Parts: sequence; C-alpha cells; structure tokens
Amino acid sequence: MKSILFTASIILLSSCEDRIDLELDKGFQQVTVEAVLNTDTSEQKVILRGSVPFFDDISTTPAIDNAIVHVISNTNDTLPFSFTANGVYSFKPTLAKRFELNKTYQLQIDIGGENYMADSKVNPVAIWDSLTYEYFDETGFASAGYYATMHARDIPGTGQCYWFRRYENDTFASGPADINKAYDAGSNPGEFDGEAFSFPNSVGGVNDFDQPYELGDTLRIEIQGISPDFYYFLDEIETQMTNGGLFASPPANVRTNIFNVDPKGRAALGYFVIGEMEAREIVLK
Amino acid sequence: MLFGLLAAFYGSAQSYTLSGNVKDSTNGEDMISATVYVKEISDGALTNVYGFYSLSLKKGTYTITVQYIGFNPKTVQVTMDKDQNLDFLLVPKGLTTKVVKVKSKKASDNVESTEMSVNELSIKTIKKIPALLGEVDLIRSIQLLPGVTTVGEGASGFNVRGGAIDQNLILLDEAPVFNSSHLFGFFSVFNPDAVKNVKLIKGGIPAKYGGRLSSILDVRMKDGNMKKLEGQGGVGIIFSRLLLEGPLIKNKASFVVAGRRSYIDLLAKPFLPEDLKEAKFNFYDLTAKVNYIVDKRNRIYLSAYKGRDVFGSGGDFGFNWGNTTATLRWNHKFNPKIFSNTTAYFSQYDYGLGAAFGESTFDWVSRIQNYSLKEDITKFVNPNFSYSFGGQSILSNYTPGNITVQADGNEITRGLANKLTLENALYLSNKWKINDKISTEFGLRGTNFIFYAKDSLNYYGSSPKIGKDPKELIRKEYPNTWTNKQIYFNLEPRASIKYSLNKKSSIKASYNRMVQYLQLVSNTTASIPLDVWTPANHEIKPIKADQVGLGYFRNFGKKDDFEFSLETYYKKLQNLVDYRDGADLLLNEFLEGDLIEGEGRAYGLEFYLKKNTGKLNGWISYTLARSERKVNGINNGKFFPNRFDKSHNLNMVLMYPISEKWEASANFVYSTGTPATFPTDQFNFYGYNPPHNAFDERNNYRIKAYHRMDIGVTHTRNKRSEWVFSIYNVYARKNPFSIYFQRQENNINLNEAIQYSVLGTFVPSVSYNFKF
Repeated sequence: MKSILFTASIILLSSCEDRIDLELDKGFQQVTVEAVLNTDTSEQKVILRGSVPFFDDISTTPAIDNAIVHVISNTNDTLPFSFTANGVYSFKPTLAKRFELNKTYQLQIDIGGENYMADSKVNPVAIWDSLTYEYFDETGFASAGYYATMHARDIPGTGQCYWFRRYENDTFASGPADINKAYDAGSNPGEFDGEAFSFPNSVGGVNDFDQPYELGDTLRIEIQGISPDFYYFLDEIETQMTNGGLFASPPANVRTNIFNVDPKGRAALGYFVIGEMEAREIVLK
Repeated sequence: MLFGLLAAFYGSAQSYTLSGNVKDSTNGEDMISATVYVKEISDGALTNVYGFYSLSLKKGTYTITVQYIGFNPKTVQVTMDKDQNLDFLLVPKGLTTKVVKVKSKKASDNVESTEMSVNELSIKTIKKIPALLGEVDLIRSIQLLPGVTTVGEGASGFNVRGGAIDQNLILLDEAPVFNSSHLFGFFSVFNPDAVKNVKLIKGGIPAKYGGRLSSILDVRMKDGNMKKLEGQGGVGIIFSRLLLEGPLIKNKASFVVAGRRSYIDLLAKPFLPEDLKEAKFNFYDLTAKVNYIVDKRNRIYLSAYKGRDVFGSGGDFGFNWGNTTATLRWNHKFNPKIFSNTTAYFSQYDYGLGAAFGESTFDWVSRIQNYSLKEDITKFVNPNFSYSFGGQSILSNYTPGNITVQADGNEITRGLANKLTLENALYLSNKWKINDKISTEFGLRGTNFIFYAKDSLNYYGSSPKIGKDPKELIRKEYPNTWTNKQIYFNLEPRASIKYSLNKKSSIKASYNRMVQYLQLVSNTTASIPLDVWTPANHEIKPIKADQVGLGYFRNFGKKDDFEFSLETYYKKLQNLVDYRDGADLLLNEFLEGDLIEGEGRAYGLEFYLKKNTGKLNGWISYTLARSERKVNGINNGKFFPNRFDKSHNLNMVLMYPISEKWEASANFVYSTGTPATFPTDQFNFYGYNPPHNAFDERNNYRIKAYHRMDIGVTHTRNKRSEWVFSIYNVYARKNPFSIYFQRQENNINLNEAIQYSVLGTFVPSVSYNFKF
C-alpha cells in the first residue's frame, strides 16, 4: 500500500528522492546475540558479533570469539555451545539431548566478565496442511507466473505466533519487506484464532509478486513457532528497515530479550528464541 | 446579579434598540463582522455570523455609519424614539478602484476589540494568493498567518501554536469536519467559491466554542444570491468547479450549489506505467445550501456537504475516504436585543480500504458519526455590554474498524467493538466594555463526557517495559447492552482583557482552558487518511490545555494603513497520548495498551505586520516557537520536540495591481526543518541489519530548512472572466519532507540516507475562472 501512495505522489507532483551525505553522532559498540533455535536434531547455532556504526559495511561486524555460551533448561540440563569459528557457537543435538517442547531455557553468555542472559520457552509450531502452486496470468500488481499457497492453520488458543521463512532455490529471502509472520492467524492477539492463515501469510508472504516462480524452481517454507515478543521484534525490524516516504513511522530501536546481569552495564542487542520448526518443500514441474 | 445591576443602570434613561442585518446589495448575502458605528457615542457593534447587529441607544438622534472592506460605506441619520429595525444594503466599490484591501474588518478593530489571536481572511484575499496548481486553497492560505504551520506538502491538516493536527476544530456552517484535506493534504475540502468567511481563533477562545485544544477554524458558506440567478466556475489543471446560486423566492429564499471534481487521473493516464494504467485517484466535493427568511424574526438554513477521495490501482486495491455533513439552523430574534440560533447537525467521516487477489478479497471500513443539537443565545444589553449562553450535546458513534476477508471460499467478518459517546456542554459568557480603556470578555464552559461500551471492553495494568511493551491486559468485560463505562466533568474558564494605551494601540491578555474528548491516533510522519479517531474512555483520559497569551497591537498611519501585532503565548498540555515504539495502530483491539500518557508544552512569539492601503498590499508574519513533549519510556523520559516543531517560521505575502486588468502576487515562506530521529549504529540478525540509536533518543536531529517562493498573475478579461497563471516553488527547491535510511541498491552491505522531497521542481499552472 505504501508503495502505491508513494508512486502516486511521485507521478502527481514530481516528488523525488536524493541520496545525501550525512554525519551521524558517534555511538558505542554493543554485543549482538543471534540465537534462533529449534527442537530438531540439526546443528543449533548461537552467533555473537559486535554492532558497528550505521554507515559502516555491515559485513565488517567484529566476531566475538572469546565468549562462554551455555543454555540451561528449567530441569537443570546444560546444553553446551562450543566456539567453532567467526563468532559461531555450536551445539549438535541428539534425539535424547535437544530442546524440548515443555521446558524453558536460559541462555548464559560470559564475555570476559560481562554476563548476559535471556530466557525462552519452546514455542509450538503451526499445523501444516500442504504447500501448493498454480499458474496465474498477469494482474494489476502481479506478473504472470507460478504462485505458491501455503495451507496451514494456527493452533487454537490466543498467543501462538509464527515466523514463516521462505527459501527459493535454497536462498533465504532476506528482504526486510518480505518478513512473513503471524500472531495467531492474523496480526494481533487473538485474531482469527485457530483458523487457517489468510492471504497476507498464505500467499502474500510466500511469493515475490515481481518475480514469480518458474518451472524448475525449488521452494521451501519453514514455519517456526516464536514468542509474541519475538513477533514484535520482527515487526520492528520490518518497520525500521522499510521506513520512509510520506508515511514514515518515527524511528525507534528494536527490542531485545537479552539483558546484562549488571543493570548498569552496557546493554546487548539481538534475540534468543526457541521454537518447533516444520518445513515443506516443493519442486515446480 | 452583576449583569442585572449593570443592565438596570444603563437602562435607567429611556433607551431603545436599533437592530437589523447588513447585506450585500447585489445578492442579499449577509455580511459577517461588518461595522455599525455610532458617531455620537464613539462606539458601535459588529454584525455576528448571521449578519445581525443590535445596538441599545438612549433617546436621541444618531449618525450611523456602516462599513465593510471592499464596499462603499453607508451613513444614515436615525432618530431613536422607539425600537427600530433597520437593514443596511452595501454597494461594492466599483471595478475602477483596483485597490484590494486585505482585511475584512474596520481598520482599527484589531486595536479596539478584545479579540486577540484571531485572524479573519476574506475570500477575496484568499483568491489572490498564488496557489498550488492554480487551485485556491483555504487551508494553504491560513498557513501564511502567524502561529500556523504544517509539516510540509502532502501533510493533511495544520498545526496551530504547536498543537497537533487533531487539535483544531474545523467547522463548516457549524458542523465539524474531521479531515480537511483532499489528496493527502495537497488541497483542502473547501470549495472557495462557496465560502463566505473564514475565521481562525488561536487563543483567547470564547466560551461558546469547545472540544479541541488549539484552534477554531470557523468556515461559513455563502447563503445564495437572493436577487438573481448567477453562477461561477473555473477550469484548472487538477480540477474544475462550478457554482450556481439564486433565489427560490426573490428576497425571501435562495439556494447555492457548488461542486468540484478532479480529473488528474484521466490526464495522467497516457504517462502512467503499464501496471498502473487502470489506477484511479480522484476526488470530488459537493456543497449545497438553502435558506428561507420566514419572517422578520425567523430564518432557516439547511446546508450540506459531501466530499470523497478515491484512490486505487484499478481493480486490485483501493481506498477511499470522505466527510459528509448536514446542518439545519434556525435564527430566531426574540426581540431586537435577543438573538438566538439553534443548530442541529450530522457529521460523518468514514474511510475504507479494499484489496483483491484472484479469489481472495479483503475489505476494511471505519467510521465516526456525530449527531448534535446546539443552542446559542446572545442578549445585546447595550453597546458596552452583552452576554451569551447556550449549550450543546453531541452523540458520537464510532465504528473503529470492521474487516471482511474472503479466502478459500470462506467469508470471515471481524470488527472492533463499536463505541458510543455523549459530550455535553453549557456555557455562559459576557462582553463588557468597562470604560474607554478597558474591555473584557469572560466566560465559563462546563463540559461533561460519557463513554458507553457494549460489545467488549479491555482493562489494562501497567507495562513491564514502559515505552517498549504493551500494557498488561487485566480483564475483559462484555456489557452486552450499551452501558455507561466512564464519565468525565470539566470546567473550562475563558478570559480576555484589552487595555487601550491610546487610540492607536492596546495591550491584550487572555487565558483559556480547553478540554478535548477525542484524539486522532497516528504515529506516522504525516497523518494518513486511515488514522483512527479515538474517544476518551475508561483507559484514555481527555486531553487538556491551558493557554495564556499577551499581545501588543498597534496601527500606524492616518488611515490605519499598517496593522501591527506582537503576541506571545504559553500552552501547557496534559494527558497527551503517545505510542510505544512499534505500536500497530490499525485495527488494534488492544490499542489502549499501546498508548502512553505524557505532557506537552508550547510557547512562542508571533510578529505580524500588515499593509492595508495603497497599491502594494500584503503582510509579513514571523513566529519563533517551540513545541515539545515528555513521555515516560521515550527519549529517556526527557522533553523532546514534537514531530511538527518548527523554531522559525517566516511568511511574506505581497499583492500589487500592475494595471487595470493585471494583478500580480507573490509569497515567500521560510521555516526551520522538522525534527527527526537518526540512528548511530546497526547490528546484524539473521541477514537483517536494523538501525540502532545507542542513546535511545527521539527527535535528536533536525532536517534542512524549508523555503519556497510562489508567484502569480491574474488577468481580468472582463467582468465575467479571468485567467490565472501561477508558478509554485519558483526556484525549484527540493524541500526535504523527511530523511530515511535504507540499504544501498548495488551493495546491500552498506546503508545510505535518502532525502524525500514531496515537490522536487517548480509547478506552473493555468486556470480560467468565469462568472455568468
């Protein structure tokens, strides 16, 4: 919607956008924790890096290699994450030792004496039905091609949230405008609770309307259970990274659930969330 | 009792009342704020919004002069030995006189009346100001006055003395208008051909007005030519307009009908990219009015307005919004001293959004409806004293949002709970000229507000992280029938005093307390048509403002050639509502949980110099101001500037008749850039790299200053037609509306700053106006 409003104002009154040079205030480096984990037996990773000034190259974020990372369950199991390389701390689960649905976990990070922690329960995943595709001719805002539909439903009960990740030919669709998520089966607490996901999630979020799928493409959709707070975290990332134009929202820092044990110590960024994950994959032929 | 004593004292010598209407002799239109001056007592009266005046004079003979800018004054001798009714018909000044006077009141009124912080703009003046795309605009014109600003082109609404856009009460023939803009603020909803008078009150707001904190914009429509059928219209680049007015019964009843319709989408079609070929963006408005003079004491008016904006990609996506109002008014003169007006009105603002893809559709509709009854009575005791009282009741029905989704063959409807509110007010005020030097206006308005809920109601506790997390939902209630869930009572005192230093200058001071029971919930840079009007309720308190003002008013020159004022104000606001970071305001059942209370303050100095006589006319206004707020959880709980805060604001308007058939005008505006929030750092998460401000600040930066010059030329071909040429943004400045950040297109590892300007070039236009 915003892009249509944008376009109209550009057409109508020759509005324009210009790249400008700007000098920003100097901030300070903060620890970033990327810990999106699931209950599978595949390798689980916690990635620790530092933040960088806004106009720096994001690939230059420094890796934090000297941390000690543990995840401890509420029944006192310790899942050890060991440093591999480049800020990545890895844990290889087994059927016997992995993240379990009914437990809660605490992430503990020690970086040279600074202690950070975060808590997460294990969020259940939605109920898959199927992943289908169909050919569509060109319409007002979509090109001709193959479009997929994700058929899945929300678990009954207010407060179940999900993150839908799309991989086209094994590449993760990482545009901030493409973040596909649901709160129950809508976008607010209790919305369409227990029902099937509707258009914005089931079609809107699994296709690229400018470049639809072609025969031979592989599409994988991963649904991961997330917490309501992580839902808002994703929402904030989307808003902050796609902000602009006539109807921009006031910029704000995205939230975090990582906290420094010392309340006067430097805060950390990022998120620790665990959920069940289930994927479906199709090949268009 | 005080009133009674004074009335008795003044009435002790036998006095009689002279009353009547002042009208335009060519069409019978009542003239608002015309002066009726009595030489012998060096005093007089102004006609009210219905053109009515009333003067109580002792037995004797008097010289009465009636004046109105642009018309020949009329002087008569009147002998008062009984109550008399005398109407005055004024004749417009001939076409040979090209001097255009810029104000609508007698020149010294700015010095003599207790009114301060008021600007009245005549339609004649508004039509002379060079306009965007040649379309004369009311709202754009008032932005040239001191104390009135906007965040930029494309922002609907305007800000008065550091107040948000929902703090202005915009009245069209007494019915409130919720969105004063077409096309996101580029044009206002008022058809200038149908407008008779525009008055903006920024401070010292009289007790008969209430409901919004920062200003009253009182727009009155023409009544319609009582004598003959005539019309006027214009053809422009964006839209065309047509107005028809005339008598239904000569000199007794008349009508006026005016419409506008845009066709920019049709004109732009050949230039649109393929996927937007079917796009439509158009707007229209229709204004109609009928009035009937029942007898010497009674007159009835019926006015209606309907406007709509339609915006869509043509089939798959669209949204539309608009205001509809209808007003029925009855003027009744109990006797020559007592004037009463009864108004009943209906006002609705609704907006809808729809999208479709293949078999699935999504529709969303939201609406606010007002039904109101209002009564105002004024008694003109004598030229030095009058008092008014009255009341109003407004029943509001809110439909905050209903969505209907059709997918996979199912239809699901869902809506937010409807709300009903009742807002009542009673007021009493008086105008008292104590002596030659001191005049006062005091009033008290008592308001009461009741919130009713039926479907469901949410009660909240506190937020675990104020500013970031929503408040905790404690319980839900399901009343099932309309139940009163919250009542508020408030007293709003109003006071103004004028002290004359001499015949040419005066000092004025004012105080007002205003209470507002509904707010426009918006957290975007510019208000979008889908922003939600939300009433006060069990969780949201009404917002209040206290404003004090002090001003110095002075006229220069023999004929009051120059008008000057210097005003300063201070406004304190309580219970302001702000939103936690990342709040989703659209269709949010738990909206109250996302809101945070704060306080605000605004203060400033307004400088105004106007030239009224001679060939070159115009004005300069300069405002130095600050508007800020403090909200727990945002900006570390410290005061930060509002989104619409502009430190300096300079406006210059000049009009000059080059010759008998050509007139030129120009305006120049300069203002400080608006505040913005900029990051300091960024971090990565799963392939995303959101911006981050290490100090968690809000509005820590200011974007570049805004300045622009427009010029216009009007060529009057003959009495019946003219051509208007204008260039908006003559030196093509790319005024920044906002600055935002994004990944670079050719390197997603780097960010860039983008400056977005709504108008990137100069915009020339031509339009043709005609009369018949």
